[in-house]
Parts: sequence; C-alpha cells; structure tokens
Amino acid sequence: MNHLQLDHLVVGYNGKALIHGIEIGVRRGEIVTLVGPNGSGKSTILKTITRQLVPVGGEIFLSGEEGSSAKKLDQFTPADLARNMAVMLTGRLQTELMTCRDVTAMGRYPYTGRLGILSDADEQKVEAALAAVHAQHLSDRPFDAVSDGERQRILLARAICQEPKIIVLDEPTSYLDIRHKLEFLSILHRMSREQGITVVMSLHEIDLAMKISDRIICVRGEEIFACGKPSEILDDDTVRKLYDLDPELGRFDARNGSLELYFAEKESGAETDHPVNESGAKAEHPMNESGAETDHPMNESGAKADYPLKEGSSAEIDIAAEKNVSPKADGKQTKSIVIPRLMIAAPGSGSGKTLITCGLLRLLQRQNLHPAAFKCGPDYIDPMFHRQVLGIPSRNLDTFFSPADSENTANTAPAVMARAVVKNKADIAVIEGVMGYFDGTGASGMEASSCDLARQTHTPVILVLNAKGMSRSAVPLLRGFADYEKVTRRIRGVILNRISAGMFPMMKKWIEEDTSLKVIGYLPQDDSLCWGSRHLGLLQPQEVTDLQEQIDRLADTLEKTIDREELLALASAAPAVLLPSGAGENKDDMAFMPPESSEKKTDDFSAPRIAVARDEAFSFYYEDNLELLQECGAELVFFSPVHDRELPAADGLLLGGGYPELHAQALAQNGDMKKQIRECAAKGMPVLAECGGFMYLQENLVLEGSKKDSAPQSYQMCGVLPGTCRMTDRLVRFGYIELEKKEGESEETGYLMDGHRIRGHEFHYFDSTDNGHICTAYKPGRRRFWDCMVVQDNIMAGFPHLYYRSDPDFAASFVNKCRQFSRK
Amino acid sequence: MDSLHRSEYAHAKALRRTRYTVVFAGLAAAFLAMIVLNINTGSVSIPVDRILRILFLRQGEANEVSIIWKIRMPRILQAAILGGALALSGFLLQTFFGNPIAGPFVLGISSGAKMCVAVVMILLIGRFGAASSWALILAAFAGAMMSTAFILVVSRAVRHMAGLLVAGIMIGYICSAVTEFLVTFAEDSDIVNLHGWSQGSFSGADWSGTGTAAVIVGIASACVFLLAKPIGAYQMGEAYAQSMGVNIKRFRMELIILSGVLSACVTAFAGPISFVGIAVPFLVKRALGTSKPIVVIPAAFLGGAVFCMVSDLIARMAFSPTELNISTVTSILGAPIVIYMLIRRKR
Repeated sequence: MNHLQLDHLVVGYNGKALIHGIEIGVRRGEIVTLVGPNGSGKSTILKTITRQLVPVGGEIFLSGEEGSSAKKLDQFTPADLARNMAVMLTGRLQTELMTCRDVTAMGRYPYTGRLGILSDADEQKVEAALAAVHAQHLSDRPFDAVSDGERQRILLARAICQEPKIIVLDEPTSYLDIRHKLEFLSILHRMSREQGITVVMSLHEIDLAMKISDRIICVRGEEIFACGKPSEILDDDTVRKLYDLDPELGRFDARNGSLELYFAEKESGAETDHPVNESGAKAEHPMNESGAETDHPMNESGAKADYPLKEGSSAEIDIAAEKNVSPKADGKQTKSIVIPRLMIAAPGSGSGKTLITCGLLRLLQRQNLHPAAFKCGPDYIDPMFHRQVLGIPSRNLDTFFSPADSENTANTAPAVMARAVVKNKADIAVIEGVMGYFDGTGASGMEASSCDLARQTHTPVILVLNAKGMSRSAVPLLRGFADYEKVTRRIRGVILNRISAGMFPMMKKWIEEDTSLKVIGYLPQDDSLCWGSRHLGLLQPQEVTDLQEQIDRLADTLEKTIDREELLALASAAPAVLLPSGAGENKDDMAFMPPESSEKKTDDFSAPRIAVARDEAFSFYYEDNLELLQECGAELVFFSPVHDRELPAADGLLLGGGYPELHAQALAQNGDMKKQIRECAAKGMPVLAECGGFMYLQENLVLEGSKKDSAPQSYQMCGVLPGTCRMTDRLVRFGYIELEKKEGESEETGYLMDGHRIRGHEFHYFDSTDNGHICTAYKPGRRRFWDCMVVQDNIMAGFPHLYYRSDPDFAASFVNKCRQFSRK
Repeated sequence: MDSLHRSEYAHAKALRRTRYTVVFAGLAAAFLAMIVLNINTGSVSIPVDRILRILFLRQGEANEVSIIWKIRMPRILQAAILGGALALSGFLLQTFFGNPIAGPFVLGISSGAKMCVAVVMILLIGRFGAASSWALILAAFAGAMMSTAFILVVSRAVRHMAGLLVAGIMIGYICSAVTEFLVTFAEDSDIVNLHGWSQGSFSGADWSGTGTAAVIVGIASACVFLLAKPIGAYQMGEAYAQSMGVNIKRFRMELIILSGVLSACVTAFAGPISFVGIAVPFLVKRALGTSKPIVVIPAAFLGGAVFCMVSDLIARMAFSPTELNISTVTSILGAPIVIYMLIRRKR
C-alpha cells in the first residue's frame, strides 16, 4: 500500500485549478522529487499535500503507522497530522532571538504538554536530531546568525525532531553551496534508507534530483509532464521541454547531469579568427570553454545526435548585446551589432511571401524606419521588388553561397547581413525566405533553406500562411511547422494571407490558444494584387504596371491589419550579431568588413572601369558581387546593350544574366553595340559573362516561333564566342553548383585560380552548342557534375551565375586583369 | 550524546536560567520600588511611617487616608494593570503580524477605540448624563476590533513593515478626524472630559474602574499565558505552525480577540497610550535574550506595569502641580526605542 496517495488531485489557489489530474502513489521510504521551472506549481502541490492549501479537486490519502490503513488527509486532526508529517519550507524564517536549539525543539511541539515545556526525553531527542545533522556545535548560537547551509540543517533537524513518517521539503537546497547540498541530501538519503522515512520534495538541481531520487515528477503548468525513474524520464529533450530551454543559451546534459552554457563556448570560439572551422568537432558542437573535451569525453557524440542541424555559426552570435566590443586575450576584438530582424517565410511557394514582404517594407518605411531587405537563396527577382519598395538595393543571403564554415569570415551569412545593414544605415533587417521554410538541398534537404538561414543568422521567423479555404485546419498545420524545428523554434509569428476580416479574430484566437505562435495580422484577399510568374518566381517589377501604387495600396491595408508593435517586438527579440572585427588599425564601423584585397595595396591606385550591362535584358546581379568588385578597386559604369549605341569607355566588361530572349530582336538590331563588344574583346579586354550574358556573346540565339508550329526564329548575337543557344522546353541544368577548374586546362587561366572553388547556381531553359569545358560544376554532394565555362583570351563566360564572395580571389583576379588592360 | 556536549548543554541551560531569574527579580524589584515611590510621591507630602499605617492599619488623618486609598492606590494599580495589558497586547500583535513594530497605538487600534468611546461619551452623557465603565469598555472594544479588522484586510495586501505602519497611521488619522468632528459639535463639558481622556491619563482612576480592569486584564492575561505554546510555534510562521499541529484559524481568532480586549480595556480606562506596546516587549526580549513566549509573557506584563508606573510618576511629578498626559511621557521614552529598533533591523 502506498504511504501517500494522490488521487485525481487538482491543486490551485482559491478554488482556481492550477494543475489537473495528479495521480501519484508514493511508497514508504521512497524519495520522490518534483522538478520543473519556477512557478510551475511544485510548491502548490507540496502545500496541498501538507494541507496548507485545500485541494481544488480529488483526494489525498495518507497512511499513518506502517500497516495501518490509509485515511483521507482531511480526516487527520492537526496534531495527528503533525506526528505523521513534517515540512521544510522555502523562504527565510524570521526568528527573533531564537537559538538553533530553540528552533529544533519546536519540532517536539506535537508531543509536549499544554505549555510546551520539554521533558528530559524531549530534550534528548532534540540533541539527537541536532547530532543527526551534525549541528550540535550550533545549538546555542542564534538561528539568525548562522549561515544558510547551517540554517537549512537546523530546519531539517527540527523536522526530524517531529519524528514524522513522511517529510515534505520545498526546495531545501536552494541557498546551499555544493558541499552543503551534498551533506544535506545525504542526510535525507540516510533517513529514507535507514529509518524508512518517506521524502517528498522539490528540487531545482536536476542533476542532484537524478542522483538522489527514486522517482522524479516533472511539473510544468497544468499537468504532470512526466513521472518515473530518473534514468527513464530525464533525457536532454525532456529537460529542454520541461524548462523550455533556449538552446541558443545552453542545454542540460542528462548523461553528465551538467548544464552546458553556450555563451561560454561562444567566447572561447570567438578568440580564434575562424572559430568555426578550426576543427570539425568545434564547429559542429561548440563546447565549454573550460576544456570540456577532457571533462566530458562523451559530450561530443551526444550533442551531435541532438543537433541534426549544425550549430556552427552560433559562434558568430553573442547574446550579450549590451557589450558592444569585448576585448579578447589575443588583442583581436569581436564586435557585436544589434540588428532587429525578421524573416518572412512560408509553408510553400505561392503563399504570398514577396507580396507581404514588400508591403511590410513599405509599412516599416512609413514608421520612419530604414529597413534593409534580403532574399534567402539565389533569386534575382524578389530583390528587385524589394528595391522598388525601398529605393536601395536588396541583397541575397544564402547559406550555400555564404557557408558558416567558410574560411572567409567576411562571407558568412551574418557578416553579409551586418555589412549591408551598416552600409545602408538600416535599423531593421527583413529577410524574405525561399520556397517552403524547411525546403533546401543537400542530404538533409534543409541545407540552404530558409530555416538554415534563420538559424545561422538567429533571426525570428514570421510564417505567411495562405489560409484561403482553411479555418481551424490552419492550427495543426502551424503547430506542425512550429514544432518541427526541434532545437530552437524560430517561427514565432504568423501572418494569415487571403482570409477575410471576419475570420481573423477567430483564427487568431484558435492559433494562439493551441500553438506557441503569435498571430501578427492578416492580409485580405485582393485579386488586383497579383504579380504573376514566369520561369521562376514573379514577373520583373518593371513589367508590373503601377507597382508603386499597388505597394502603397498594400501598405494601406497592412496598416490596418498588422499589429505593428508585435512585429517590431518580434524583430527586436533577435540577439545581437557578433562578428570578428579588424586587427585594430581599423576601428570604425566597417572594421568587420572584409580584409582589404592585396591587389589594392599595390603601388598602382588607378581604378579600372568596368562596364556593366544593366537593363531589361540583363538584370541579374547580386548586389554583393558588384560591391565586391568595387571593394577590389573597380569603378562600375552601367550601360544598356538594348538601348545604348555606344559601349562606355571601360577596361573590362561584365555581362550578367537576365532575359535576353525577350529582347532578342532589339539586341540583334543593335549592331553598333555588338561591333564594339567584338572589337574590345579582340583587343584583349577582360570580359566576364554569366548565363544571359554568355548567350549574348555567342553567335546566335534561336527561339521558338511566337505562334504554334511556326518556324524557330534565329537572332544574331555578338559572335564573340562560338556556338548557338537554343530554347528547350525544360530546365536544362539547375540548382546550386560549386565550380572548380579542371586539371590540365592550365593554358587558359580565366579568373578562377587552380584549386580554388567558387559557388553559384545554374538555372536556364537554353542550351548552347558550346557550353564550355574549362571548369567542372559540381552539384552539392559532388555526385553530379558537368563541364562548363568558356575561356578565350581574357573572356570567361558560361551558364553559371556566380557568387563572387565565395572566392574573393576570383573578383580580385578579374579586376586585376582589367587594371592590367587599362595600362596598355 | 557525548558527555562533553552534555555538560556544555547543561552549562548553557544553567546560564539561561540565571539570566531569566535575574531579569524577573529585577522587574519585581522595580515593580515594588515603583509602588513605594508612587505612593510616596505627590503634591501632598506624607511621611513613610504614616503611609504604612494608612495602608496596613487604615489609621490616620481622614484626608491622608483618602489621598492614599482613593487617589494614589487605585491610580498605581491601574497604571500597573493597564501597562501590563498594553505590553501584552503589543506582544500579541507583533506575533500575529510577524512584525516587531506592530502595536495597538501604531496600528490605529487605540484610535479606533478612542473614536467609539468618544461617540458613546458624547451620545450617552448627552442623553443620560453618565456612561458606565462597561459601556466605555464595550465601545472601546468595538472600535478596537473595527480597526483591527481593517488592518487585517490591509495586511493581506501589504506585507512589509512600512506599509503596515502607514496603514495604521492612516486609520489613526481617519479615526481622529471622526473624533474631532464629533468634538466640534459636542457640549463644552463633554469636550473637557473627552480631551483629558483622549490624551491618556490615569488621573481618573477609581476603585470600581480598577477592579473592572483587573478582572478583564487578569482573565485575558491568563488566556494569553495559556496560549504560550502555539504563540511560540506561530513565531516561526503560519505554515510551520500549521505543520506542527496548530489549528491556525482558531489560533488567529484567539490572538486577535485577546489583543483587542487588552488594548480596548486600556483605552476605555486611560485613553490611548502610545509606544508601550512596542517598546516593552522589545526591551524585555532583549533583556531575557529569548523570545520564548512562556517567559516573555509574564516578563512583558511586569515590564509594562513598571514602564507605565514610571511614566505616570514622571507625568505627575515632572511639572507638578501641572500633570502631563501619560502619552507625552511614554512617547518620549518609547519612540526613541522604536527608532532604534528600525535602525537595527536595517543593518
């Protein structure tokens, strides 16, 4: 028979239920420990057991002497209960002028006479209790003058004096240092084992609870979260959920019973220039500063299992936002910048991310904020829309292009983001996600996903849900999305797209009741706000008529339907971004900017001019690419191969991607431009061309006829490179690639050094008769690959779109070539 | 238990006993000395031998007999009884609120009693020309309970010392305002009576009043002494007391009624007297070196008696023949002690 039995117990205050359905049987002599976060209701349960609180529902049964039958708790007289159960409570006792012995002697209360005068036998029991807690030497000292540890021992002695069968303790070890914790718990353990006293207590120290308890009860709000033997129930995951641990801050290592603090690791990581790639283990699993490798040899493997996603870049982020610059031992400094930021993501494509992102950007501008916009992934078009809203360029943030384990600290996602924010003097960053939040590439299918980026940049996420045709079903869908991220749930808010104003309050209530998410607002269905799509994503902004007016109309709506305060609160909750800064000579804001190119330090400071084709036919440029060229010393001049008759005076030519096929006729008819490009190329001018630019450099561009069954139409292009491009009916090659120069092709250098790799992506419906073969493009995982890139004289061209920062020498080499050309 | 420890324990116990004995002996000596000194002191000087004859043989000049028996003796005894009652009442309130600064005057309980007494005095004397001491006691008790109830409500919301004090002072102000309001519209003769009474004085003491006070205070004090055990448990806090088998609801009720009766009795007979309820228990606990109720209760009673007799003596004699109000003296003596307590606690 159980010593203490809680039957359908409901506890709470003033008849208000706090925790329901408590069903616990405690056997005689057992140590049962309640664990759980502050305010979870541990004390409420203990107070109900000790009859300080009346149960809201259910029953408590207690059996008195061994073998006697259990009685309901409220059938005990006060004195009778006192002889069965002793308590030890939290909170400091105010004991005026009481010696430790006086306090201990109080335990004899249920046994003394009317005036409470102790008999000799009572006094002996008091002394024995003091001896049991090793506190005889304290007996005549005033209780309020002894240390915390001693005080707890005296209070335990008092409880022992009461000769209880069961002892209830509320956080008895809270004030104690390690030694006293151990002493205290070992006394309890002995009491339970030697005298068969049942112990029910609450503890904050999970590690100790695991070691001393026969059973552990996890209490968390409303319910008993888990109950069982410590080894069975207390794993990392339970503890994380129980205490709602933020894995960015640390975690509980159940195996070692230790609490791991990540800020300590971050500090140790930041001491090296490249914290994340020093050693594979460190990058994947940052460990404790104090040599956790030796202390906890099991840590590494254990942690890996818990972290399906690499937490490598956490070294870049510091929670200590208030510390702007923290000096490090080796003289290097780490800089942290507070950047309020948000990611707008969605369960899938077509949810309305771009629309809502643009609307929000305009909304933020109207709040007198200066947002910096980013697009997750390699997309060129969405940043154009952002740019239309903001008037400043939007950037691409891509964890494949800017990997966390990059050797180049200027090219991690947080660094790219921070640089843009500082450069534009922005006060909030808005990142538009790509596809579905978890959709990515690689073995996990999540690399380079929005989720990956949110994790690496530690950005709170708002999910845009196209809730048209949905009502309550939105709740489980959102819950699934929120919960799927196991380590840290970054999805914090929801914007419901395409629902009616009437549905919104109900949906908000349902969602907020049943998920951890905040519903930030909604966007009602508006068919006039639809920007359509072509090959991928949307039409280009210049193709949408009255775009500005539409965005303003959108922002007008959002002003009424979005909780702006909540939005900004969410953005402000993002931790500060921590970046390694320059070695000291560069103390301004840009100190964390990329190391200056060695090229720039040569004696020649003349800036080579690079002509960049930029118009409706050639519009695909990563802002960061152009910026890197400038950083390498180039001056950029823009021109239009469609409209301009003359190539501007330049030392190099950059032809980006775009839609040359839509302007094939205009391009073909602009003979002056084609002629000048041919002449320049022949003179040895460095030329770099990607995708559409590459097609423009070739001889012919062949398109399907405008009408069905009509003959294909061929247009004459520049003819700088041999080959003809033809439109196919499918994507020829697409996806992320890593470009590497093939061995044995060393006669033509191009701009990619031997052994270097540059990242980019391919995406084209066209195929050329000569795609080039200087480089090999590897898909992630390196199992699929193909030849590409043409190198001829100083021309390097091909279908891949490259992200220059993934190999800074590439851009430097191109600019250097231009410089050399200019000297001729 | 090892013998060394046992002998240490015995030694400590003996030390304690000695200390208690010394304190009680001192208090008793002071008590007797004050009685003698008080009887012996007055605007009419009477030699000691004649006093003794009057006391024990009831022989002597008629007016000297009546000075001793009708004026000095009841006054001395009333000061002693009511002083003891005040100290006990303070001790109970301090236990109840777990707050050493609690006392009938500070918490506005005396003011509440005073207000009700004023009402009764003005209404009854105005109508019937007299008010019995019982009516005054009942009125005072009702007023005391009213203020106490209010304080109880406030103390649920305000746990810290300063807040409770402020609440008490506010109640005091409210009650005083009501009293002043009544006085404004009262007869002149009532005002004189009321004014003298409301400042606190033992000058109106007579045997019947003293007898009534003795009975009430005696019974209440005996009850308090019998509650020594749960009071001791309650000093550790409500939760612990409950866990040791104290019936908390009943105990709290007993405590509040007893302290109300005691302070009401004092207020009814002598008016509100300040600071005795705080200063005396504090001093007594320090002197005894313990807060064990079983020794503190009798010692506080004796101490309160001595304190009031000393104060009364000073009130009578300092500016003789003009008598000071008793509160004037107790405040001057008691307030610094309270300030000292506050400073000590801050440290």
